[in-house]
Amino acid sequence: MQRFSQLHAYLSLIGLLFGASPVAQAQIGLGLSPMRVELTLSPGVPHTDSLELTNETAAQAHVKGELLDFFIDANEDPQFGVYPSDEHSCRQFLRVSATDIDLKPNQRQTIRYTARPPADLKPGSYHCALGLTTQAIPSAAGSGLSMNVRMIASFYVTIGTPQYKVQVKEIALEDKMLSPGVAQRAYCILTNPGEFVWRPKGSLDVLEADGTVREHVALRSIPVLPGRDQKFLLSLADSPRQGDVLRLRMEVGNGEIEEARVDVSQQMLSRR
Amino acid sequence: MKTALGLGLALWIGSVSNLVPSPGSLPIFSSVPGGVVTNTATTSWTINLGALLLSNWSLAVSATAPACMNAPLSAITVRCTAITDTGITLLSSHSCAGQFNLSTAPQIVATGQDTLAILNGHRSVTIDYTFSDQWKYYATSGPCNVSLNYTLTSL
Repeated sequence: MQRFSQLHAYLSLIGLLFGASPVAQAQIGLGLSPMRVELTLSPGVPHTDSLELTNETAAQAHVKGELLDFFIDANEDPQFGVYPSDEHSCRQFLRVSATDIDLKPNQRQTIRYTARPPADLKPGSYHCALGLTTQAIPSAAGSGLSMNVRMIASFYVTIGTPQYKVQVKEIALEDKMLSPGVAQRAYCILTNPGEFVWRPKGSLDVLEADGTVREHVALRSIPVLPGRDQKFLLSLADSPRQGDVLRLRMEVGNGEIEEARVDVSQQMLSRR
Repeated sequence: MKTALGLGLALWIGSVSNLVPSPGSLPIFSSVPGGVVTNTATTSWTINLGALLLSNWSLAVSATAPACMNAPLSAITVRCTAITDTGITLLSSHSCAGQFNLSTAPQIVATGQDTLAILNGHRSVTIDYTFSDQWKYYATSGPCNVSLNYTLTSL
């Protein structure tokens, strides 16, 4: 062990440095417009339009594009990949004009896309994404971490007239370890049993026994995809007490205010 | 926002330019087994006027498969330390996510929402990368490189 340690230190001192000035490397700088496209289409009728990708550096860039499915996980992190079982994906009927793109310095490139919803596509909303990723630039000798960027253009295609179905599955307090500055984290799980995506606009309030609002935390504007449960995380500055009420109030686009309440019980507090 | 030709209506949301991670690479090696070393990078972008309407955003970080055979990706922790906005950013909000161990799966490092159009909006997210060296990691005489991918999303 002692010999290994000495070897480690010796080699480290010869070959490795930390904290030196960052190694110069060609910089990456991309622009994308728009980042989100919402289309209302009819089955069987194609629609073509374009995105604009720009290389805003003085160096050449190679960008790879790929069509992806996505969902948002229980940590509110978007996850991109190919998920063939996703019945609400538009990946199968969206095409883009370029997937291997060489960009000269400061070049602007139009990427055309065509959505061809099948004639028998049932009413609902369909989502997918175009990921545009810079290819790794060979690192200079001695570098450690090299950076790439990926920009995502998300597509939402609506077929038919949206009808929103909303269920509040759970409102509770999390029992996980928290980051500094956060006294407690609450969460709510919203279910979308319908065929159309919606985004809740609203908040979770912590009410005292007399109805006074002690804390007000807005929901993040993330989509609740069809057929999915979506967890929303809400950081509270103050820990709720027994007798308080967690009140969720939101609107999803249909003009109706949805409200759900949960009493903060001793049992809920003891689970933390 | 834009109205498209044809039968449908198209709504365009979010437009950014000059998404730049800086520096383009970071040395993140240790000469002190058992020690902890931190280096800082920023990722910035410009928010284009007139293309924002209740637009949420998130910045995620992932790594490609490690080129280092001697230390796992999880030896590097990622922590957002600051988010700064310049320009006119009305009713924008943002927050840093908690720290996490680097992996090949994208993990959110910062999120936010831009409610109104922003004039000359420029946003910068500062991230610390901390490498916790251990005696059990074999030393190497040459560098190993890890590619970091920053993903900017507006879902």
